[in-house]
Amino acid sequence: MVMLYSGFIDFLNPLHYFTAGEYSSFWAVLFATVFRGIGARIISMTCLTLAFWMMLRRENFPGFIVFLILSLVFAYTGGVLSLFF
Amino acid sequence: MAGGGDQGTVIIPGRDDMKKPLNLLSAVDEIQHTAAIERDMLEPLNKNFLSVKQRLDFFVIGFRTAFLGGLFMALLTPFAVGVVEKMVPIFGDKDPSLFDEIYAFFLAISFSLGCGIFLASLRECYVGVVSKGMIRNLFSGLGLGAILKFFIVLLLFNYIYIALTPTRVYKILLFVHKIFSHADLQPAYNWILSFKQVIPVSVVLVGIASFLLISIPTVTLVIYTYKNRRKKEQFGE
Repeated sequence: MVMLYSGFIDFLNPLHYFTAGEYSSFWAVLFATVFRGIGARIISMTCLTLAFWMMLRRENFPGFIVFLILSLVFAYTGGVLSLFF
Repeated sequence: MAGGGDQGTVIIPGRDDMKKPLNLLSAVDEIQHTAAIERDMLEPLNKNFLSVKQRLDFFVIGFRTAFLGGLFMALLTPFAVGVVEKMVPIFGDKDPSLFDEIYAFFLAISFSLGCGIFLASLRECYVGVVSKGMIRNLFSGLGLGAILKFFIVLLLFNYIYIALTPTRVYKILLFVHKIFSHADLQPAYNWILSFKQVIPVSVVLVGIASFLLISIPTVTLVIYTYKNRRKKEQFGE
């Protein structure tokens, strides 16, 4: 049972497939792309555009709120992360 | 009783047609539904069709939307001003471009702007006694919520501005230092004291956002009503 559980955890563990260096560099690149620089600008602007499109065209208020929060997340998370890393 | 248009359908609005709106979306849905019925009516509905409780429901929804939603966005306003003052990084960049500064400012007012434009779409529903009553109550709640939110922000932000003296900040950070003994708190001390300077501007920005939230739907409604009246007058002549 313990062996089966351990095998299942290994199956789920990304470090079973990548080295620790590859894994951390993948996430570092992803964070740098998604939350910083031009990538963050594009994603945040897209979310804000979608928020207003939801509100004006679709008259979907919850959609507006969701995309507005997403645009805020992509705009400010890079700054918050830079405080710690 | 209403003539329902081309197919001669007769719609008799009853109490069961009116559902209690739970949020802004269902309130707008209810107004659109009522306006569609009222538009085709041969005789106007009695104004008591919209009971005091239902008026209050619409008022509360307007109030809640402007107050809670607006308060959440108002708390983010100092960050937008912080971006312009180069104290808060945006897109991970501590030296924002002009575009970034405009974008941060736009983000701060986007809730009020979007909400105002969304509610302005109700102008076409301002047709009968009942739908007018619903819209008026919704907008009254919205206005009161926005004004109350502004006054709370005014008091809260200015209190923080006065309360953040160097001695007090030092005492707070001394307490934090007991928990995180290895942390260098000198940059935090400097940042808090410089960030304090964005609070007065933030209050003004929250005031502008509240004004937009009230004025966009109200002005649109007034212009639309005025244009309709002019059209009716011309048509009558």
